[in-house]
Amino acid sequence: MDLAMRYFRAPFKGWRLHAIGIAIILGVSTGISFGQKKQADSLISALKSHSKKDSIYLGLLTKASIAYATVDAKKGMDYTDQAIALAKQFSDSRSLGNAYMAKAKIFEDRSEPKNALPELLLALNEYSKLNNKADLINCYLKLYMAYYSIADYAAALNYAGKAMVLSQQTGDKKLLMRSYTSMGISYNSVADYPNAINYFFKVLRIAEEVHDKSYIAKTAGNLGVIYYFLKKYPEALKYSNECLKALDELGDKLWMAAALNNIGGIYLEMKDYPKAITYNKRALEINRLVKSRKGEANDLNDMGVAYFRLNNYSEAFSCLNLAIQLYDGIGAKNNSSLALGHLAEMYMNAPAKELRKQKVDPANRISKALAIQLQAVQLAKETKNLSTEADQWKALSIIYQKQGNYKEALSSYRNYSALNDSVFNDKKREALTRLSMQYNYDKKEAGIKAESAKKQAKATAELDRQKIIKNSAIIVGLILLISGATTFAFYKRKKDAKEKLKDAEYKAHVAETEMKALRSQLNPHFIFNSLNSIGDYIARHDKETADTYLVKFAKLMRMILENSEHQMISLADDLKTLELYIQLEALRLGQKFLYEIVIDPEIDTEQAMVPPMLLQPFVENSIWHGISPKNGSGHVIIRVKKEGEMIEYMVEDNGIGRERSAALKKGKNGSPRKSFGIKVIQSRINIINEAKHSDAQVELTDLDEGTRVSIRLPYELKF
Amino acid sequence: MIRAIIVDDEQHCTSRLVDMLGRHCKNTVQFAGAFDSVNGALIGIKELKPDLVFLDVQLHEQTGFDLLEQIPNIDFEVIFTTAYDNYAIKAFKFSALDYLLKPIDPDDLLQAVNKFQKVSQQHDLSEKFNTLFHNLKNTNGTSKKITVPTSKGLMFLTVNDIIRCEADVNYTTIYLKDKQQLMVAKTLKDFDDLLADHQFFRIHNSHLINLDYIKSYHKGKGGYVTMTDNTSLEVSSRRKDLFMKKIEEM
Repeated sequence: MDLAMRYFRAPFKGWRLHAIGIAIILGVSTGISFGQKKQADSLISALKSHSKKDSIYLGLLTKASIAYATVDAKKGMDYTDQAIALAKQFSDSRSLGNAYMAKAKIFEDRSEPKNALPELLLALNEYSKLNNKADLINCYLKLYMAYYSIADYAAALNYAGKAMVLSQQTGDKKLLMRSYTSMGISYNSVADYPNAINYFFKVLRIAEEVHDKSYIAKTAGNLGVIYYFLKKYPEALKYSNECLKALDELGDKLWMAAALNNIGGIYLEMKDYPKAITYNKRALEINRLVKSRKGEANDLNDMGVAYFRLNNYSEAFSCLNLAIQLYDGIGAKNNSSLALGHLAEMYMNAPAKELRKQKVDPANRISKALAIQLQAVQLAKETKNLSTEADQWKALSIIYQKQGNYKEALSSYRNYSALNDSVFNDKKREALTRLSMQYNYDKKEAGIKAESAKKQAKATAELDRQKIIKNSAIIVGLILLISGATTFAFYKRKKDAKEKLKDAEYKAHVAETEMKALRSQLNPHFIFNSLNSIGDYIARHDKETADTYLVKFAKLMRMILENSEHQMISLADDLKTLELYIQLEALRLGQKFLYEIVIDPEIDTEQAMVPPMLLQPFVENSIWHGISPKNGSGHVIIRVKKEGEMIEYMVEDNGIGRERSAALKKGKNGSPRKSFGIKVIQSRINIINEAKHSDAQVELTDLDEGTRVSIRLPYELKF
Repeated sequence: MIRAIIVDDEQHCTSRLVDMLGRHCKNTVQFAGAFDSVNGALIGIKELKPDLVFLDVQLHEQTGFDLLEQIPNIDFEVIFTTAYDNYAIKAFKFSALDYLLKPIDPDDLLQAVNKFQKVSQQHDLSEKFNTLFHNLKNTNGTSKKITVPTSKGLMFLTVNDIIRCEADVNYTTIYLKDKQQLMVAKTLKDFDDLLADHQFFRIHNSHLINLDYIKSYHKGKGGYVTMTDNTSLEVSSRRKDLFMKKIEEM
């Protein structure tokens, strides 16, 4: 049974407080089973009876050192040193490598990753001479773990990547799962969530395929953590509990400790502090039993924060101080930084009486907190964990504010916001949305096809699997598709009814995120043509017009950026943006058209709420495909009418019409192009309809001269 | 003529503004000099005694606020300039200070200069800056201050002293903790935009309330709330769900 456990800590933004961690279990170590005490002893008696120090003796010695590594560190160390010396004598690279690995394992079990590193590098050196893939992969993964434990995530990712490439060559599923998991964890540590989730999906797919319960448990845990990172707490709790349940079924105490700490962390986030303490206490008990110092420190840290929230300061101080001491002992900088951050916060907020108990003069509380917080920032910088660093800067800014040093406060705040932006920029959210939507879509799709499709999907999965093993690095997309289908097949049977409810909730959430991505999509055509126009005015020395155009363009970009933050904006704001857009186009086309916006007096434009920029692509079409190719000038009329419970938008032009426009385009470049903007609008309207159970529609009418587009939306008021 | 200087660390921003002043404000603004650092500007202001300073927020490693803080008696008007800095813009809005967004629109520039001519020699200037500095130091609390224009002149209110705001067409009446009422020539939407992140919630087309002063909520179609000053206000049925969510978060 694989019993290694690894944690990672997530940033947390509490009310005024900053980072609190959450741990997760993600093991990748090789298996050395419990029954090895007996095995080790029998190996020793074999050793004693074998007096000649030949290669058989060396083989036995190496086996004994590996076996003892987990049961008796001191004896294990003895045997490994003997084995290393003998293997050097025989120049036996493999045995020498194995002996170094055994030594590293002892350090690892003692939570001393720093000491394990040189041994692992020596082992890698020996294995490289022989080119045995399984040995190399194993060694790479160990290196990954060691670097991960000392928070050098770049190095960890590097070795995880090497392990992955080799695993793909061997096609061994267990190795693949291990290396994909390592990749996921590494990406997660550097806050690249879409990549992390991508790799976890890969693991899930293989785990389902080979019915590996323990990996299914881990992956549920991982997903719980990702949801936690993305601040979707109910989901996070659900997955973590599933993980805990699975571990319970497997009877896996060690991992349960980490899962318990996880759940405690989520309860912290949900402000249920007594529950958080209960769960962490359970975790602490196990961790102390198995002497996992890092686990112990994590539990203490979280308990400290929970006690702090409950205003139990003496417990809180003692828990946090103990946690920091443990973290420093094992060189866990990231966690140490987080814990220091909490401590600083406590010095800021604890009542004078409690501070005196800690032998701190309340008058010095700010300078004391500042010193600790500066240390936290420094450690966070060293880990290169962006989230932690961002949070620590923010905390520092708050302390400076309280000190009245607003200059430093502002500068710290800027550091925070710059880092925060890079952690959670929209691109990553979009990528995540795409992945989740794909995953969901695949699940649903497979459901419709039911039984027969299930067989087919399995067959396809089997076929594709072989292909993927060859080039899986390239076909990320396919893996996801199959992952969706196979996962579904298993999940469906188990929890059909439950799934439905969850699905609906999830879909609503995804829809919202997706909408945000769609809203912020500007037609790139428009952006670059605008820049081109500005360039053209400059070339023609028309400085004035270039300037006017530039300023209006900047204003429009600003408005669109602001509007895209909201699901709905007031009709007044939307029309203001649209009008600015039309003015820009009019400027570009040299006043070739007139425009008019007619609003039904029954509509209160400040109160009526509409999705932003729904009309723009249609207006763009009218201008560029209707009026621009036309001889002479034209007009665009926009009407907004209220009809019962619906609001109707209408864009009407007297251009050349759709038929001639299509013919013109065909003549130019072969086939008519489907407008990017209109495709986006159609998918936005579909999402609105699904979310609001409405029947918003787009309707196109060909007029005698020109085209009319009308969009009907439900009439919604703000108040 | 208004004597103006420009403080900006980016040369192209300075030259663009100089160019625009020459083109659009030839007869009203006299460009007296440009400086690209806090130290340079300090000397420049002392020497040139400007009426108006166009001040960039970010100046190398320092900020425009650093500059202002080092001047004991600010006897000139400041118009801040920034490209995209929501943090700073929010601070300006709270203090009712003028700012221009870059690239600067000539219309906006003209408007700002006209406003300067009209209300030139504002005596409340230093109060405005005090509000700004106060808010920069208290970014998280409810102790933020806000500058509001009333018929008697500018008032400086602590946000948490406001119980509620009520719309009166294009005016807003502010009800304070000490039973005072203020009539302000701004729309309720302006206050909604400004205060929504600070424990305020728009429960109705005409009512913006401070959530800290709710005494009770009575169920109904939308229901109504009673504030600590015993006024009862209707909650619009469309705002009820959001309102309940907000209350739960508290």
